[in-house]
This record gives sequence, structure tokens and C-alpha cells, in this order.
Amino acid sequence: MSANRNEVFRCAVVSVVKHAYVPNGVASHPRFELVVVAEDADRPDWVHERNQLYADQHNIPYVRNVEQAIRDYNVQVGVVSSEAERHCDLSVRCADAGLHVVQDKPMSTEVSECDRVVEAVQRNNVRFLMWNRNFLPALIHAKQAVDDGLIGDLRAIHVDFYFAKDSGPPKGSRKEGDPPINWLERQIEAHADGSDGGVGVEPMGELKIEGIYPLAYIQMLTGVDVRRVFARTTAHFHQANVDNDVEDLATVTLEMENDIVGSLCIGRIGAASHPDIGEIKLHLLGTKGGLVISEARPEVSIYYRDQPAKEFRSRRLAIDNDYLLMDNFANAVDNARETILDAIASRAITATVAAAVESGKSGEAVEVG
Amino acid sequence: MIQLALIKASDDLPDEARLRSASFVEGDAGAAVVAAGASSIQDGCDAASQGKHVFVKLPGDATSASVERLIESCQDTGVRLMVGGSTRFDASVQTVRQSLDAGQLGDPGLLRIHRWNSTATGDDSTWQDIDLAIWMFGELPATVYAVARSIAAANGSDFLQIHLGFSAGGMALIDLSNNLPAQDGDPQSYYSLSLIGSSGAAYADDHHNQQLLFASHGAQALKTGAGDLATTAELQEFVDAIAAERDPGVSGRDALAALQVREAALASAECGKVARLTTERRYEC
Repeated sequence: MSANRNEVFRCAVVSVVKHAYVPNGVASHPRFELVVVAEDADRPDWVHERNQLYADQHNIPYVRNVEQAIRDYNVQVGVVSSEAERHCDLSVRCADAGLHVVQDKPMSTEVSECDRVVEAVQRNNVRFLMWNRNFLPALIHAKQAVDDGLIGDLRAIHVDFYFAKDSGPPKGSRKEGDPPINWLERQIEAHADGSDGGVGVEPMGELKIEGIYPLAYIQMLTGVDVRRVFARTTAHFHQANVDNDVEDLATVTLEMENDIVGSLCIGRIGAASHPDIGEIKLHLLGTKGGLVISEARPEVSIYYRDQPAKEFRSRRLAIDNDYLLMDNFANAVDNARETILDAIASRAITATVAAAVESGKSGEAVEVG
Repeated sequence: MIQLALIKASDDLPDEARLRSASFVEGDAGAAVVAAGASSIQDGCDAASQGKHVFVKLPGDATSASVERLIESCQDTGVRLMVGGSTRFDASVQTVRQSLDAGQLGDPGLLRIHRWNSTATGDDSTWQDIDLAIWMFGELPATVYAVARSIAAANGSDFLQIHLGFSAGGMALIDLSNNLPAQDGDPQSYYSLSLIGSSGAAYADDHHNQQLLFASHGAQALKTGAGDLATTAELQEFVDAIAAERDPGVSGRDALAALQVREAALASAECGKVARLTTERRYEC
């Protein structure tokens, strides 16, 4: 634990095989310095290639031995951005090495793995931050409005979280005799446009890939956990989701502590379905009023001749999420406090997602474990 | 020219001049327009028994049983029945539906509705939004799950969230609230509809359609509405259906289906379980 508010934390990037926004976000804060990229030696070639590329881009060494890198480079923070099924194991290893941990979402594909992280973080008395979007300007504004009592006591919260992105060929496009789309190969291919949040051997639906973002909004604004869910899930847009039996569209009714209710609509709905990244909105109801928040605002719209069809017309402004997350993390380390999205809250969100996936398959309401 | 006899006064009738081939009359006529009220079901039944085509707005506490009675009355004399007050004829909903019918949105996957009001009208407009879901997906939902809460009401619930599942994987999530505060004594309302399809999406959202007013009380949002085009379109549909000797949209059967789903939602909220559509086209919780 550091009491020096000026101390710069040396960070090991422990695998960076997908979009690199997490280590890049960590590096955006002057108190964090990326000093090494580390990975297990027995990973596939495509993993090593991506790690090496990131190391070269940042002029730092790449070491094919995680524990050795931690020792040799005197790091205090581990930044985990591997395939989702390896997230928790790497985070546990970092915590056991005495590192504070910043981890990419989702926390894990298995709730039991999350329990390992919670235990390791507590046992080693280190700080843990699950990457999130809670410091976007609109979310800060929503939190302020709720805290100021503008709508009274918050009683219901709804989040629409649609990503207007394609994910390979559309549903129904596979010809007779063609093999099903391999999930990992599809995700490796998606790296080119940054849509590889689901990279890994295990297929993941949108609830697992992106659900943590809107559920983290809900957790932050309500301050309570979800107790029961009812979900509907389907593969509606993309052949890869059909072939791998994972959803790309889901709706979830949320029943929370303190009798608060809510809902989540989430999907990877195709690039044609919104002019920008997607429709992301929050609707909050309290005892004294309601609040409608567009996550994208503030934004400015730009149009010009021969503008590429897929270029977003609206550009978000004042995005300080990366810096604020890392400032929150630094403050947590300095003062032995919890972060804005710590291991326990992240575990609860993962359990909510697992219950929703189960509910979508069973057609029954499910208690969150 | 279709003559429409007005049963009980109503404030929300369209300008007669905007109707094609129809006029309002006092007294006897071939068709009756019944305003919403405690006796509107009975008034509709009475009009049907006299051989009049019936356009009726349901009372807030209408049940599937009462609408079945109205349907039977109309069937007995072979007259047309249209249930009024539907949101199908809202300009925004019509635009979304036209895009869906044109194939621009592909197969509907998700319908999301937020409807917030100030008026504590009890069971109010729930059936209208359920009807929209049935209309957009073209079938009854196979599953119904709902939660009800009291957000600001001293008694009973003023919040209902209805979660519908359709047979091909489609889904609808509708949240209805009557707890918005009045503003200077005037009721407030908010409405948002999103329809996500396999190849496109439509967003009809009050949030987008607000104007800004800066006054002494601070910035306020003012909604630019669509006038009475919806009520005109609705009544015109009734007139056109009579002339063409076809069932109107929204028929008695349409309203009945929506009310049955609403009752299933209330039962689900009460028992905490999923209500499922049986082979007899009833819902069991």
C-alpha cells in the first residue's frame, strides 16, 4: 500500500490479445507506467504475435513468463486483457504475487472463477478494478442527479444497451453443407475493427461479453444487488451466434434488493440499425419523478461530402472515463479503499449474467446465486 | 356517407371536416361512437343490439370477460366492432409499422416501450401497449412475466413491467408508470418505443422530440405533439372498415387478446411466475 500520492505504479500488461483499450486506458494516467508485456509461454502463436506487437508499439519488453516478468520488472499492478476464460486465473496469479489488478471485462465466463478472484484479492489485501464505463459524462450526471434527490428515492431503472455493430455474416447466410462458424476464428477476424470483445475458445453471448457495462451502471446508481431475473435470449442477427448457440439479443427483468426493479435490453444489433455506435439509454423512476439519460451525450455531429457510410456521424465529447477510472484506482491503492467496481461487485454482476443466461434457456425466473 | 351517432360526449373527437365519407349526427344512425366511461361496454352492447356498427372506447377497468360480452353482442347482429383509444394510429407507431411492413427492419426481434404518466388511472392504457406488441409480432406471446410495484402510490401499484416472449424468439419489454409528478397541476407524460429487427431498427422517442424552454423556473422540455391526427386516423379506419365490409383494426378480438395478456401479466406479478399460453389459447400461471 502506497501512501505516496506521487508514486508512479509500474504495470505489467498480462496478455493483451483483444482490443487494447484497457492497457491504453491505464497508461492514460500519469501515475501508471506500462513497463512490460507478459504471457504464458504455452499460448498459441496468434497470442504471442499480438502481445509482441503491443510491446513493440509501446517500446517495452515482452516476456513469455508471467511470474518472471513480475519479479524482474518490479511491477505493482497487473493489467489483464486476455481471452475471457483466462481473466480470473491471471488475476488470481497477479494478486498472489502481491499486485493490484486492473482487469478487462467480463470478469469471467464462470462464477466460480470470480469467487477465486474475490478470495485472492481479499487474502492478499490488494485492490481490484473491473474495467467499466461508469465515469462517462452522462453516467456521472445521472449519479449526481440521483444523489441530489432530483427524482426522490430510486425505485426502478431500465437500461437499453444496443451496440450497432456487425459480427460476421448475418443469420441465415450459411449455405447447406458449409461448416458452422468457429467462434475463436470469428473473434480473431474481428480484431481488425475492434469488435473482438468475445475473443476466446468459449463462445459468449452479449450478456457475458457486454452485460457488465449496463449492469455496472445499475449497480452504481442503485447501490444494491440483483436477487432474481427473468430473461429472454435469442440469436437474432448473426450466423456465428446461431452456430455457437449464444445470444446476440437479450431482455432481462431485474428484481433487486430493497424492492427496486429494473430491466436490461442488450444486443449486438447490426451496423445498419443506428447511425452511431448504438442506442444506449437509461430510464430511471423515483418517488418524485423520472429521468431519461442518453449515454452518448454530450456529442457533436459531423457530416461531410463522401463521408464513409460506416463512419459515426456523432462524436462523443469530454470522454474522461479512462483517466477517472485510473484516478479512482490510484486513490483506492493510496487509501486502501475499494474501487468503483471491485471484485465483490463484479462477482455479483457475473452471477446476475449467469442467472440471466440460465433463465433465457430455461424460460423460468431464476434466483441469482 | 357513414353517419356516426355519438353516445355520450367526448372531448377527443376529431374535427368532422377531416373525416372522409362520414359525419357526426345526433340521434339514430347506422354506426355508434361510444366514449370511454363506466357504462361504455353496456352502451356498446345496446348499440349493437340495435344493429349499429360500434366504435367504443373501453373503460379503464375493462376485463376480457366484458369485452367478450361486447363481441358476442356484435356477432349476434352481424355488426362491426372497433375498439378505440389504440396507439396503433399514433403517427410515430404508424411510421414504424410502415417501415416494418416494407421489410426495412427485417424480422422483429425486440419491442421496447416506456410509458410514463402522471394520471393515476389504475389499469389505464396497459392493453394498448400489449396490443402493439401482438400487432408487431403478429401473434400472441407464448410467455408472460410481470412485476408490479408501488413507487409513489399510497395504495396499490403504480408501476407495472411486462415481459413477453414470442414463439420465434421475439420479445417485448414494456414498463408502465403512473407516478410522474404533475407540473403546475398539469399531468406529464413520456413515451418511448424501439423496435429492433434483424436488418434495421426504429426509435420513436419523446426524448428526441422535446423542445427547450428557458424561463424563470429553469430549462424545461416541451413536447411537440402530433395534434389529433391519431384520433382522426382511428375513426377514419372505423368508417373505412364499415364501407369495405371488413374487420377494422383494432377489432374486438384484438382488444380481447391484449386484455387476456394483461390479465396474465397481473396474475404473473401476483404469483411471481411465468404465465404460459396453453393450447386452448388461455394463459396459465
